[in-house]
Amino acid sequence: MLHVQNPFSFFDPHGHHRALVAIETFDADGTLIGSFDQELAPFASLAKPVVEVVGNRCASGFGSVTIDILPPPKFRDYLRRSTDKIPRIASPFWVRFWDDSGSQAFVHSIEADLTKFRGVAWPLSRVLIRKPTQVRWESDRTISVGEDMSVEAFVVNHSRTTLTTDCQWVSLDRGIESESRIQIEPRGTSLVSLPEEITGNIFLRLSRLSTPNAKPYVIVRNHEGLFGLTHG
Amino acid sequence: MTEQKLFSRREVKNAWFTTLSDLGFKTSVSLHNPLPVGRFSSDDFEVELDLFDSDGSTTLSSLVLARLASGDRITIDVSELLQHCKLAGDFVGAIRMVPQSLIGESQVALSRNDLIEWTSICDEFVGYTHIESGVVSGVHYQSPPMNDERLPSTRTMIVQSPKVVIGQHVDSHLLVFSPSTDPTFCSRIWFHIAVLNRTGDVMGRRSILIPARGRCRVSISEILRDADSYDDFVKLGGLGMVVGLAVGGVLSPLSLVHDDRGGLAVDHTLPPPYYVPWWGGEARKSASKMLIETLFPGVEV
Repeated sequence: MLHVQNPFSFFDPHGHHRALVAIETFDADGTLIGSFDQELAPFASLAKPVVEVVGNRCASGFGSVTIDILPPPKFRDYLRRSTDKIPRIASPFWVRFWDDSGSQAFVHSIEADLTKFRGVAWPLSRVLIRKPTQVRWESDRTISVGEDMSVEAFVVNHSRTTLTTDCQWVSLDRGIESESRIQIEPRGTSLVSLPEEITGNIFLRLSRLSTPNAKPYVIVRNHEGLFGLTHG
Repeated sequence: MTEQKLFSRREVKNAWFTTLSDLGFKTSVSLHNPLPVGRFSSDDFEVELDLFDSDGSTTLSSLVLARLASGDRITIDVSELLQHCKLAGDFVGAIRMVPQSLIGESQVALSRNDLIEWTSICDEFVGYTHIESGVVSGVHYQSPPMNDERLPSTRTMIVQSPKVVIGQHVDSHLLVFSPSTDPTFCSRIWFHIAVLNRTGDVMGRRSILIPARGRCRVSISEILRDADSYDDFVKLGGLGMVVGLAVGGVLSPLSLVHDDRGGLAVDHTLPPPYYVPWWGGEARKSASKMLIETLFPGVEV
């Protein structure tokens, strides 16, 4: 379920601005498989099931979502009057995951979609997003993995170029336990599973992220299948 | 802001958290020493813990937990520690990651930017493990300098979180605590909450007072029941938004969705600069005033 609010109400509460929420969904290979637009009244929020956007078009069973929250012209004018800086805005949102057993998780969008910069002509978009820095990353979280538990990481490419990265599951006691190289198209997603025979205290390391804050989403299931999901 | 002020070496890199035993969860904190990072060279951290009860009174001070060499990791089982110390209830914790190169320095001259740089070297992961099922939920975040008279800071804070879910088995909560890098900070902070339905109508309000270094968990269902609007909210799908206004300081707000069968969604909220990066100054002051008039009439700032 995608959760997003009309943020413009908080920056100009008496302006009564409506917001246009534009959702796009992408299959694991980065193919666009669904879109949905809805206008939000002042202070309103939207909770939209992903399945209503995707339908039955997600061949791989997982993928990524972008949301663009578009301001009305009078809000753009308000921003221009309020600052002498470039009045850029961002569109963060949340995704809720749950199941019938009682699992619950919320994660916020971790990174901007850097395949294009919306609201400007494409030459300016190319200049504004440039080629993002690809950085080495390792999680600051150590996961304690017991028997009958499973750990999976979803790595998303937020940039406009293909990402090739090496994924390592690293044990605090035994060092690198598993390594795989993955290639992800722009807006694509790759699933990296911890081999089931690996237990103990482990963390995830990637040789590079597509963009500086493109941390993977990590889902940990216990022996009953109940899960927790976090970014990084 | 580049002006330097004097700070204790224990205030350089902190990880603030709160426990959640009142919902049936154990707490752990996963730490990592990522040094060298940027201009900071390889160094050990001495890891110390301060603990405060829900009213902000000091329960434990400067308890040395570990020494973390560069690249080392540790997961601190806070609940086990509390049990060992025969402490019951919920607490706010401050983990001080003290660079060993600063040991021997009574005070260090640092700017706000220096402190932000130290804060940013790594995330901390606060894990909440359901006592019965063992499932682990949690949240990554960083603890920047807050509520510190030595640093310029706003005296109000707006929270906007479209993550309210109410239904069978499920309630939403706000878990707020009041970190402070300043040992002399003793202000109590008013936190005003408005619960909005999906169409933006206010369905309930609550105001709470958070002591310095204290903690409070607020059930959104309770707010709706007190306002006699629980049924109306659920009839509209049980989904909506919570808006918070802190007055007199800033707070760390976590939003929770709790399933009474053991599930827990926990995430931090995103402050206004995540939406409008340059946000501040007169535009911010003016918008905050209008927001208070709209959602929190009668609140004095």
